[in-house]
Amino acid sequence: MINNRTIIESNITGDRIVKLEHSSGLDIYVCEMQGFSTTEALFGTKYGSIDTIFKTKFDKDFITVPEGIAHFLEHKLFENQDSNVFELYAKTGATANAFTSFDKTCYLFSCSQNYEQSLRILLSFVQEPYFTQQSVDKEQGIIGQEIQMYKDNPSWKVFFNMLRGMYHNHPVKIDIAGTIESIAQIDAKLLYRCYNTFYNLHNMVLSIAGNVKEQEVIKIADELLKPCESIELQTIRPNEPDTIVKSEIVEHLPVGLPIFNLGFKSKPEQGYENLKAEIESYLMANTIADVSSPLYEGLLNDGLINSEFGVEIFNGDGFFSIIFGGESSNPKEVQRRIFEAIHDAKVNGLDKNLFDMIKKSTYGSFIRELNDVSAMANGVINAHLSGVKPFESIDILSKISYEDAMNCLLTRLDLDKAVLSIIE
Amino acid sequence: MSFTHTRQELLKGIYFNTIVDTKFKSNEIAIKMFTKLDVNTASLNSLAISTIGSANNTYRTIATFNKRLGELYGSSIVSDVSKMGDTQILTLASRFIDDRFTFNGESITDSIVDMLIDCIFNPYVKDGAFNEELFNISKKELLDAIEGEINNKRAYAIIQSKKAIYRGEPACIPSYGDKEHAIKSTAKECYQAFIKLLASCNIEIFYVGCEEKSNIGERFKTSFASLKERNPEEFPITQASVIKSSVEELSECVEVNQAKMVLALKTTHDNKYNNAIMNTILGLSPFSKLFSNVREKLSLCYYCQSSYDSLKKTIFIDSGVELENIEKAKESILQQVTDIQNGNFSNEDVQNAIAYLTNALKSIGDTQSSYISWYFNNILIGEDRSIDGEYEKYRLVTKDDVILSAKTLTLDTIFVLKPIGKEV
Repeated sequence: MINNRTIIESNITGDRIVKLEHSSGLDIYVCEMQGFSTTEALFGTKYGSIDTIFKTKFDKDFITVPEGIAHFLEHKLFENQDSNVFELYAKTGATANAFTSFDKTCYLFSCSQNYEQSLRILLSFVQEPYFTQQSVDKEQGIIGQEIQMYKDNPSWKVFFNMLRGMYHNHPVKIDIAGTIESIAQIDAKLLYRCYNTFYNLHNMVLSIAGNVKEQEVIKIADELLKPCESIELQTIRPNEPDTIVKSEIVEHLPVGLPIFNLGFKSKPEQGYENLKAEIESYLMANTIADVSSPLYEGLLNDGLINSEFGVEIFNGDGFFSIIFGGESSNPKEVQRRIFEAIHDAKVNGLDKNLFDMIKKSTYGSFIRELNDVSAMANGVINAHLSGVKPFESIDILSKISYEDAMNCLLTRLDLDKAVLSIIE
Repeated sequence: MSFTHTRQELLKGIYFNTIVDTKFKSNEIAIKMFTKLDVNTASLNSLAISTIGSANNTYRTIATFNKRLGELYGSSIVSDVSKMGDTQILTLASRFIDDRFTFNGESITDSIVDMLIDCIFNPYVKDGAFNEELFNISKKELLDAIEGEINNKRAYAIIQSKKAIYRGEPACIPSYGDKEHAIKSTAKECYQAFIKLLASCNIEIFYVGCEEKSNIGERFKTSFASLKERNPEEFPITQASVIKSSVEELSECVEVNQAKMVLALKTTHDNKYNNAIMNTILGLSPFSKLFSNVREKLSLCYYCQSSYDSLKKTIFIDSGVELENIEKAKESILQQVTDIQNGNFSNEDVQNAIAYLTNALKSIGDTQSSYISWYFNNILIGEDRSIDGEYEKYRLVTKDDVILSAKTLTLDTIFVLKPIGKEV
């Protein structure tokens, strides 16, 4: 049963998303996209690798769980009592998958036929955990290989080394999959405890977009969603100082050219303010380092970067950083020039024409995303789990001024909070 | 799915494809030039398409070129090099939002067509050579990419294995050519190679958008008509790869934690639908025999997948495994092949594989690039296929057809990327 139905509409493109508050406690977003054959659905929980300390109203004290358990749980949910979930999807033809990030775990499918059947599978298996010690032991081998694979990935290593240089205590610095040692501590009982805490429908969301009908989704939701009582979940993060741990970390791995991440630690925000800070930071950092900027042109002409160079904003619950990354024969010289460009922009101001161009360009990229079923379904779930509304990015973008970007530059790019991570 | 596709011959060997689908909010133009993959021209062609895609005589630097694109609402112009079988494909493509979504209703489509035409017919050239600065940036980019292949160990293993799997055939050459030829190339040679390419290659131009824009084809026709001596080569024919008389085993040692193994099996079976279904059951899907047995039952790896190159009639199976488990993994992988040859799979497996491939087939048209890939592949293989017709052909595949296909599989090459210092 639906307790509340809200239509969210984009003023610019006319796209509509319906938000349904289901009586089970689950929020459901349906985006019917005319003319598309594909349907993509994501069933997600606000539970990721950073949620390592938590309690509910049934617990006396906070519990600390092993690193990597959210990701382990994601793997294990694909086995139910009777079969492997992929065997169920096989009958529908859907492509199914799942992923765990720092702050969420999502189960998804994409299909161009029989979406109702695939949706039934999705809603059922995520609500029916089945863990045994034997299956947990088996999974340790598979995830062990996944961890080994990431150890050989220099892009992954350079990023996590940077996070370790940036964060003293925040669990964002730990690897999403954990370590061979930490996953060895996981057992079936602990998995059930995490499942019962975080896979409560009040902590979850369903996003479905493309070739889909709202009434069909409601019918299936009514049939399969098991009402949940709110368990008053609380997660806590260790206290995080606003200083960095180490300004430079270098590790050796086989790479073509050295790769680097230069990250600036900055104040985290929540909800709307987090999204606003993210877009402001994106515009500001690209005004400094976009392919059209004097900084980029100088670095390129001097052979110090290639087209891998770019900017990323990495933010979430309790963490926020602006990262310049790429490949270079001399990352320290690249850092020096970035510092110089930041200093220059702080003193003389950002290039106003470039800022306007980046803003216009970002608007174009937001519009293009609305063409894509997968981008739509993912965008909606990300917005919900970040505490903002779908389409809010375009509204925020239109309101950001040059002065906002300047303010962002002055407050968020502190050279004393920069960490340079290099893999060479 | 409601759309129209027309293909019109502009000039000898040059075709213009228009695909109109009203659901899109952005448009795409792709110019695909294709020619036989040849070690003497592959690097030069690759450098040429990269140089012309980075700037032109109107916007002479990468910065001004990209600034102009930014002003056009973040439109992109990108170059790409790929291969299909023994054919090198050089693409210059642009994505841009539809004029409906510009702030003042201005038309950006014409500006994009101007820029693309300038890239091809008015590149930044002096004394019969590409501008040195632009060329050197492209050259560095290519050499960095070749050096950087090692960064992605899984992809690196496949690249290295292909050199042995297709030895003596054009397909053994990487799509962008090789380091030796790239290093010694000059701006002059590269420009001359580009002129030769324009005179001899086959060209397919695609426009995918939400409305018909009849002037685009005409504008390309006028521009291409300026080429005085054009003599398109005979359409490149792809040959199935030759099966070696005995299995070739080779390895390479690098600094990695996890070994990577690539097995190549070649088939003489002519029915590509039977081969595709067989490959799906073997290892393409998450319900495949490789996934269910090698990963899930034996916990030997995180990934163990197969892919099928229908033009070269070759199946690749790649996996990431601990070195001490390589023999066990190989034995188990080959056992899955034997099982299919002996009919140890069900009719349901065949139906599931049909559903899986149909799902991918029916999603064609949900992105502009999927339309382009579909029609371009049709042209390259010389078949006028329809999506429904293709589905019918999959539907007719039986268990006996799959066995027939599997029985012609011959193990051809085994490549292992080994961790340095670890011996078995």
